[in-house]
Amino acid sequence: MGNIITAKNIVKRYSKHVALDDVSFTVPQGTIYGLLGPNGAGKTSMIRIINQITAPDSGEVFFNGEKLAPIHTQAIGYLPEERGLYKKMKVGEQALYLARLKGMTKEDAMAKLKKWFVKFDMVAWWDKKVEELSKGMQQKVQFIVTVLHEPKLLILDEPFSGFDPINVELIKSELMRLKKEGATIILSTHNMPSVEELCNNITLINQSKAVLDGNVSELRHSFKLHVWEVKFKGDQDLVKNTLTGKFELQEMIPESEVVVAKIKIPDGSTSNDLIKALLPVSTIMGVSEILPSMSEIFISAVKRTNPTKQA
Amino acid sequence: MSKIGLIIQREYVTRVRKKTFILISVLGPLIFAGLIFLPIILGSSKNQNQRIVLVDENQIFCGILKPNATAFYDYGYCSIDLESVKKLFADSVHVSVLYIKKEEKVTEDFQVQLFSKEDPGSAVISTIEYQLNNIIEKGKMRSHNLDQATIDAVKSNVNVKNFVNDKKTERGYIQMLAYAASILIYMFILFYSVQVMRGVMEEKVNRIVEVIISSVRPFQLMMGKVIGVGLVGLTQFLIWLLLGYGAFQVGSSYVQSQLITPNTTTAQQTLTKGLPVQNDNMDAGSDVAAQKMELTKSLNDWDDFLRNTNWFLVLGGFLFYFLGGYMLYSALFAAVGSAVDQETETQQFMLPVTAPLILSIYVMINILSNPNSTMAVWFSMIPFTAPIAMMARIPFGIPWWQLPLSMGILIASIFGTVWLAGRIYRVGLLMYGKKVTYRELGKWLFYK
Repeated sequence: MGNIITAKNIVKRYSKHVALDDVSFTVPQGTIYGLLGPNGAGKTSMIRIINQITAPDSGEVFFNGEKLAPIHTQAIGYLPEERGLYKKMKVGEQALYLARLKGMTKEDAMAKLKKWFVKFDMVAWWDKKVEELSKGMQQKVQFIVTVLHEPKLLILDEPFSGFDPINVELIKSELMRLKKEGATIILSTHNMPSVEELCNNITLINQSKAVLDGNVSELRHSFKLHVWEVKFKGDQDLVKNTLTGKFELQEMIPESEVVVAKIKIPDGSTSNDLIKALLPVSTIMGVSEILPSMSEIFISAVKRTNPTKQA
Repeated sequence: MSKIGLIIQREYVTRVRKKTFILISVLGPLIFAGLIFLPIILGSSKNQNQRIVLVDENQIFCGILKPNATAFYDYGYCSIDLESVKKLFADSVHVSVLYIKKEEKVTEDFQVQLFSKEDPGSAVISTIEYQLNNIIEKGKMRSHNLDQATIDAVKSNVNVKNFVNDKKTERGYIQMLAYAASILIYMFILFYSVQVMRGVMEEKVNRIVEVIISSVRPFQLMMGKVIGVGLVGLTQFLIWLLLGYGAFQVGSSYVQSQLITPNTTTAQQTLTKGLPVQNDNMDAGSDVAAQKMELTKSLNDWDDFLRNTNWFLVLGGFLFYFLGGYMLYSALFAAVGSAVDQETETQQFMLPVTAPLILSIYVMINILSNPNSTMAVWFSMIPFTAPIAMMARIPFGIPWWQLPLSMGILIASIFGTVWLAGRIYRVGLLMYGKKVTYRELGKWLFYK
């Protein structure tokens, strides 16, 4: 499988600031790709360039190996962060209009819309005006309109905001299904647990630059601090004394039967060394490595890049 | 259907389906007719109950000065004591005292005084002047031993019949047509351009715009809206035209039937007041016959006017300048709508955009009395004033080469303006929470 999006050296300037400074990344086909970064980092500018809402000052974007062109808008589904609908228009009529703007025929759009309305339990809303719907309901309509034309590439900016947990699960499972059917999804979000859960790859943009990219599990491994979680039964003080000097005990919390300890293994030692040291003084119930969360990686990557930029 | 077609369709259908559209389509001609005839109706009803008390120290005018059929007042009694009369009517607002001082001889520069609590209006004063002149003139003629028959024989009534290119030209009616056409074009351009602006703002404030411009180019969205709303205006105009034509047919058959009926009705009297009838000192009896004669005469003029006006040119010109002017202004209004977040912010940009339209209205009044002046020609060439200025000129007939020249300039300007507006529009749509300055708008033109 090739790359559905290849962005090369994208630069975008506005009158007072640079939104994107030489940003390059590739999105492999059939994956869920996280586009991360703090507010104002340049994510939305990047997304708008892929959607051909604005053009870069320099650099190129390729869609399936072809230079990005107006024809590609039909193969992309876009759910912006700030999204709305015509308030006075009826739900069904409006969904049909937006679908046809994406190049669908009236009949095709009608048939698919009906299926989705049944699936999301919204049939009764068809003839209601949008202003009569709650915000969550409007979000559902927007989601359907985004995916209705079965785009090869979905770009979702904060898709879960405004949804209750039940609907978040509904949207997540739809995203997984779409991925399985071959769609590629670019997800821009601040919700880090959902990145860990859904994304295969990410790019982190900070202060107009791509500062980090790669596979999510590889990133978590590369950012690991060699901290292990050990669950054991035995005397806490004895264990503490045994570890002193060789390992760094970060915390020790007794739970009902077992004690849970976080222990950092120094360079040169392995987890086996730790187990060997503990075996004589306790009964080990479990050992596992603690991987940093995406949230921690995010914060440390942003912190690492900020001072150099300001200097 | 193409994407721009879809946008046009949505803009058109959602607007035409609205109740307000149907209401304005039906009531519009009535309101418009009301706007035109209201000043005439209001003007004729003013100071109806003004009373004038005559204080004539010469005792010449008592009993001779009478209100005529078109006067807006009547005369009370006569006296020769100014102070007591003034005291008597000290509290009466609607009483004026006309004071004529004791004079040995009526000189050429004869002065009288009118005392009122409130300004009596120019119509009352000019009628008094006219009547006094008439009486004095007649008296002088008699003192020169001229009898009534001689006086009547001396009278003359010159009437210029205006021919332009050998066609009889009824200036009065043409002026009314030119006035109505240019006011209508002004209203259409302003009303529908503002609709475009509101539509753009709605999309921006609703935040639906980002979804749409990920499917179509901003320029397509803007043009779709401009064309869709323009078609709504065109539909409205056609409905008004049909209704207006129907109302005209009904109206003229009513007037015809009134002419045949022997007795004067109030309707006929009101009708004559609006028409240019000569004021004359006549008795009530001969008044009716004269009014009828005047009416027949103006109806003949009206027929000449209808026959001699190039309706094809007037209607064709109206359609062209409505659509052309609308395209020019709606593109600018679309740019304004895209640049702001709130209705209140539109003010600063609205003024420069609407200024040429308002200027056109001032110029138009001047053009009506002098349709081929240098100023008239210039303003009908400048694209921003041409729609209104040209519509004020076309009914009078213009040199043939000026029409294609003005149209050509307008079309070229539309392309330029739409391009410029499109540049601002595409950037403005995605700008939120920022108060936009003209400097900023200028920068947007050069964004990639």
